[in-house]
Amino acid sequence: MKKVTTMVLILAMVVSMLSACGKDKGGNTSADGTKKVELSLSSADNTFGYCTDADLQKAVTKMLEEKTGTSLKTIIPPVSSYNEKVETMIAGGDVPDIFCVSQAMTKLPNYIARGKVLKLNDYIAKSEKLSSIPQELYDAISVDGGIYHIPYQYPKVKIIYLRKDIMEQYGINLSNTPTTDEFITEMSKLKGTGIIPFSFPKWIDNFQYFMNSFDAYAGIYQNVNGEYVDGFQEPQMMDALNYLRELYTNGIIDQEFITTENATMREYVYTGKAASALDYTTNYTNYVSQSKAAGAETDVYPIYAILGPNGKGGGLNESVQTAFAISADCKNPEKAIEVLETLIFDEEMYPTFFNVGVEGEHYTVDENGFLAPTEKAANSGYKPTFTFLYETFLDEFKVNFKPSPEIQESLSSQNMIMDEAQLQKGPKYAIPSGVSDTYDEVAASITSTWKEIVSQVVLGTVSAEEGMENYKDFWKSVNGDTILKELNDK
Amino acid sequence: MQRKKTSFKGAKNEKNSIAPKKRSIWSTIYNQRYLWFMILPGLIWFIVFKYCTYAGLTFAFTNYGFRDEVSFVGLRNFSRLFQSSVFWNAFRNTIIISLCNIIFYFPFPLIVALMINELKSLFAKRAVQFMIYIPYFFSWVVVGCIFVTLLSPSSGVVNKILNSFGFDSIYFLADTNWFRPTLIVSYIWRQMGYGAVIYVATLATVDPQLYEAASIDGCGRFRKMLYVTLPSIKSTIVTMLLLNLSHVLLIFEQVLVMYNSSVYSVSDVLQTYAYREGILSGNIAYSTAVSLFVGVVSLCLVLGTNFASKKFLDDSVL
Amino acid sequence: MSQTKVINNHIKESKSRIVFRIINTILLASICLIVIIPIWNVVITSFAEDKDVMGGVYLMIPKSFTLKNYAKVLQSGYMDGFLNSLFVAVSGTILAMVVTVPMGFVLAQKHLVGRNVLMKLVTITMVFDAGLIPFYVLIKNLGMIDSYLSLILPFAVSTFNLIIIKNFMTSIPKSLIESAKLDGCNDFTALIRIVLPLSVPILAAVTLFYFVSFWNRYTEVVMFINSNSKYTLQVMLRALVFQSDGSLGDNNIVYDNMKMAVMVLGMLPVLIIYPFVQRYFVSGLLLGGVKE
Repeated sequence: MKKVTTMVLILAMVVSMLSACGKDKGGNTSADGTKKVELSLSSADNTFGYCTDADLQKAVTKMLEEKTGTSLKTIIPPVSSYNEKVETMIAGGDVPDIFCVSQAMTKLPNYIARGKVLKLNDYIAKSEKLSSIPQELYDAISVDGGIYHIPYQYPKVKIIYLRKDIMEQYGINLSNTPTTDEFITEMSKLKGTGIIPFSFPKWIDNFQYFMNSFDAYAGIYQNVNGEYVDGFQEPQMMDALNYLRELYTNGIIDQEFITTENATMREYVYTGKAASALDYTTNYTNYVSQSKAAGAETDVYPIYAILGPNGKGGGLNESVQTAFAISADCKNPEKAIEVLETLIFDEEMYPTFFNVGVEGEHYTVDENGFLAPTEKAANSGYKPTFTFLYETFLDEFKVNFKPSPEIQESLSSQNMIMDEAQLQKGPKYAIPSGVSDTYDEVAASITSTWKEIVSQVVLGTVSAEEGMENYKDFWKSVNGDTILKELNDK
Repeated sequence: MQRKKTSFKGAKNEKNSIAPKKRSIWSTIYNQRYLWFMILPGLIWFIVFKYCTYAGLTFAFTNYGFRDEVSFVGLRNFSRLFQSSVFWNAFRNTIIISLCNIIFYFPFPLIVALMINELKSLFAKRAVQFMIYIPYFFSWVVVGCIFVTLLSPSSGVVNKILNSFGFDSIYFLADTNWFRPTLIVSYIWRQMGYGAVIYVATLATVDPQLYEAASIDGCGRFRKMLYVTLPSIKSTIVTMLLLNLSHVLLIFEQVLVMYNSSVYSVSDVLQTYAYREGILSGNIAYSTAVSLFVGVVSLCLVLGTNFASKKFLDDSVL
Repeated sequence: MSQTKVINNHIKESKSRIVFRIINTILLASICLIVIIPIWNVVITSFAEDKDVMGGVYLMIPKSFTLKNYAKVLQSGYMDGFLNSLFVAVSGTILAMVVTVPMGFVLAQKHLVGRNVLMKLVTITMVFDAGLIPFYVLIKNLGMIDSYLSLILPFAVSTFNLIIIKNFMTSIPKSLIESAKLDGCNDFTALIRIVLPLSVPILAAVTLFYFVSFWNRYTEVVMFINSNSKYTLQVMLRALVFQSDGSLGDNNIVYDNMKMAVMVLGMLPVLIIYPFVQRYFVSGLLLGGVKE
């Protein structure tokens, strides 16, 4: 009797396990009449119409399926866990046929070295559309001339936005490209006002904006002579560190930056608690509209670059931030390329997939021609950000609604800022992965170490000299000179 | 009390003296068939979901996740590990943080449970238990958010209190001297209720007759606690110590959500190091080597404690 | 028998006892206060208007009261996530208890052949963790990717809880089981009739631990589930809050009040069941006498 009970339990476990397998197989063979190419596609939930609702995401998928004649299996993890999910799938041997690589400059070289992504040179050459993407964006992450990614958009650039109302009130007088000294003197006028002059998030890599002013670059890169050097040990880095420290001691950088999230940083500027922040060029209209929503309406003033003693400087360049890659195991790369062409170059698909969604599902167009989110979309985090669309490679994208009056108003300034920032952007070097074993083994530690030292120097835990000494000790411990030798010998 | 103990021992001896005749192991197993049926689902689970994944531990001896071709590299990952200053820093931090967690956290739930046990009113008992258990319902991400705002130098309530006593604000989460204490306090804050629940549940089963007997012997409150309560829950205390030791080196999520680059030197632990190297950088083999190392050290800790428990308390937990 | 003596004792120590109780109460009250203050802030922030939480203010006194944040979270497909979570947590907890309790009982039987070996094998799993990747491969090979089973079966036993149960059951006098056997029980019925009723408090505690762990699981859900319709509440809520923390900016900023409302709603369901479980923590008192 009791034996039976136990047996039943075990049986139940086994059966449920088996039934799960069965279910899985059933799902895969959903070919309806015509044989469609099956592909899996993975991208974070800030795409697929920028909305977390499963039905709405399906509507976007359906449009893509219809346009490409494929049957897509989508994997849409939350954006905050996207990189982990992709790494798990890749390491677990489950590489999606097509997948989005965020932080492509750091992630992709690793995938290439591991042979997980398909070499795309021939496919790009065959495709007229893909060939029209600027070659420099392909070259940014190429290995020995091999290209493994399709960039999604033009490079993202971050510049400083300064609230105009605060500028006027406190007589802050800065050009669009002030010098390092001017920046300190003018921003110091906010001392004692309770306003944070410059709000900054905990992302240490954003300090690169100020390093650009000194021609310093954190990380290994190829200098003008074509020689690989460690940017952190170049003499100009010392000046950059001292300048950053000066900004902090003068109370210009938010004293609590190391625990500040990106969202909080923006909130400070929207509400007028802070005067300025470093942010994407595409966020210009957001600053205008959100400061209004927060009851502290103002225009913001762009500072494209801060010029150092040698007249150097530039915006924070993220280069190829988001790119798509195709799995090396993909059974039908031609079709996958077609899907990507549609995602990037279809006038309707591009905005739909990126963040606008499907008309009738995500939004309706009201009598004035403006977008009105449906209730379902509004309740699941739908956030169409019209201005983001402008980084596309398309000359024109097609949406069935007019942007809101505020956006229309600021659109021309926004586009001007974007163009200007593209011209003034600083450097960004791809990490040369797959060449030096020593480097690939310690790359993560090198990055975490320089970030630690930069933040400690800025916060004053160690002096710039001590920090540099610590870094040199670390560099020795990881055989840094061997790394440079291996890279240069290649 | 003393009398009782001896009588119990006597009973044991008696049983031993009428020890069963030698039987073949198979017939013993047959006699224990019900036990085996009961344990079977669990055993299958352990084999499938634990031991099958251990095949993955062999990654530690390969270069998995590094290059196109996966090859066997022997102990190379370990030799790299022991040469890396970042690893040793993480190891040192793990040991320090774990040690502090054991020393400061471990007694807390026990003391609180004993205090709750002393409360007269059932309502108060339940109310206190309920309140201290609430933080455990928050995941570490949420606890991280809560502590960042709580400890903010400009607006957090802790620094407001410090200021009102004339102290300067402390940037707890960016100060290398304060970061570890913050970690430990937040750990206690979240986990106190969890530990206390187990003790409270165990205390509930202490035989009331023992207390009565102690009262008769003229024991005060404190001595009752010392001679009745603590011995009764002794094995639970040792178990909890052992369980704490087994996962204390695996501290991860809490650090991940609270640390930042300025305090790496005091906060980077082995699991965060493995996470950065593995999931974030794709060097799976190397991060597996770190995990394996942590496992071996934890195993030594646990078996050592069990051995000590067997030796000094005559009671093996495992 | 010696009723009077007991009463005398009580009277004798009553003074020190009162002092002790006052100190005890004050200490416990301050502990509760320390625990509650951060939670208090979470709760009142979740009810505050946007304008009162902008720019990182730490609220200790409510400035405004609105249910807007809660309404917004509840409308955002909360019910779907909630039902998924409930399904996973309830079935997971039941399965976990059904597997863990008998196993704990068996391991508590010192005469079991091979018990030491089994215990060693169990202990090893407590300290060794192969990591996410091998786990993912296993789930994939079992064909459980994107199935609820992947959220239930792999977590059916927590070695921790197993050892807690096992240890508790070890402390139950063997004589009770022996005498039950003489009455015609086998090991299984002895567990059901004798051991389980004696272990109610610890079983309640472990049930709670299992439930909370199923409820709060996040990483594995994201890794093993591919369809958004199967995401649990924790994943859904976190996506709602942390989407805006992604590097891009966006139109709808999520202020702290909304974040806190999400946090409160995420844990509220477990909070509600707690008092029901709690009453079993003390029921062992009644049974205590049976133990001898």
